[in-house]
Amino acid sequence: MIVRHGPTPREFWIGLGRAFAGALIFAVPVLMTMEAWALGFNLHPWRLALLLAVTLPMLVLLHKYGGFRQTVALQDRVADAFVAILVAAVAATAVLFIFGIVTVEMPLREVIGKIAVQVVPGSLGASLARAQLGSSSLEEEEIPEPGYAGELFLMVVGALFLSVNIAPTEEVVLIAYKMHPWQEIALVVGTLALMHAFVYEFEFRGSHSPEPGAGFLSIFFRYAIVGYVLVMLVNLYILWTFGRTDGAGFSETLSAVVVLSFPGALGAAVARLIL
Amino acid sequence: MTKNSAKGDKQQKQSDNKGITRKPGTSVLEWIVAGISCVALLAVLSYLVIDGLSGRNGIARIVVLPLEVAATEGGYVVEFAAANSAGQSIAAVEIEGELRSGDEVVEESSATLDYIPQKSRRKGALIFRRNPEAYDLRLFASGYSEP
Repeated sequence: MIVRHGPTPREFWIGLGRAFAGALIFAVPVLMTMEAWALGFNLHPWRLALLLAVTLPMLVLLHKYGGFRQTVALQDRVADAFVAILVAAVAATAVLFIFGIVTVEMPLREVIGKIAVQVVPGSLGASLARAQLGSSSLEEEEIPEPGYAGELFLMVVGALFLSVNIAPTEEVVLIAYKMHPWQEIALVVGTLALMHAFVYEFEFRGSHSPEPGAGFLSIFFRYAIVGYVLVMLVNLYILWTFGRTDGAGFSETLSAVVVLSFPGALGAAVARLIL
Repeated sequence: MTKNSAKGDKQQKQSDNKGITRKPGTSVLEWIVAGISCVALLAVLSYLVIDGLSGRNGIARIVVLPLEVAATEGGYVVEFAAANSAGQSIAAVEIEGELRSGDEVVEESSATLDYIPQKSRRKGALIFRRNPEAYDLRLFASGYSEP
């Protein structure tokens, strides 16, 4: 008797097609942002390399809770993460080439930089395609229910999903300039309230009670507050990677982080709906 | 064997009508795609690390060369290529052109290039009312900002 491991070639191609669709949907805002093209060659190469290197373990961990197929063992998740990165790179190359943003006579460094910036949202999209575009019957297995650390990790990925789309734009720094400190405080309070409301008070599809019976304060401090701080740290890292913190003072950096944490926290709050 | 295969055996082992036993896991085809991706990612990471080691500091060196002059209804269009040979990108590059007759500047024109990435060149054009071929044409960059 023949023993076949994993999906058939046909199922694999279907999964790959879904991954392409997901990569395009998630990366299209960044693909069509002018600042993101410039980041490709302005970024310090080591920061770009670090961003790519961090993406891989993040995808491996993310595939534990979803992915373009239900994978079980670690080696399968590693394979899926690599496929997601390749799919994202191919999709970004094709689109940027058709747009004329990447051309054959450009130096290699510019081409690699422009595509590498797109790999983070693209590979995230490729990985989430299965969750986003309907479930597959390839391999039915219950997705493990994440624990506290898993919940926080999903929040971080949700934050990354929106932050990476918005962080390259000039608008983040511009809004930070325009805001008065009181408005910044209002934004922090408002963001926290929205975050708590979105996840744990409203009856959304993905809403769930991680700990039935836990009080308002316990949930608020352990999820909204901790989640918001994690979102801020992720956004600080993203802003640093994109060179937005270079030469900026402490208060300027903090303002930009607070501004970017508004979309970031919304992403974190709805993470359980889409991931 | 791992606990995964035991779990998989219970839940997923299913025989289709051709007598093929299905097991969860990764197919050879996917491993090939994953392998290609792994090699490509490592190549890009090494390239970026080496590029970082080669140093990016230093002042931009900009050379502006005229490519072609075309007479149009709107004036004489002088196409140029501005090359930045430094390892650092520059933004808002001001390119200026002068038509000289001896020491006297007869006509001036300028253009701005949004970006010139490191070790790259970008094209643009200056427009003069007089024929540049009748004068001494000088092209130079007069300033830039760091992105």
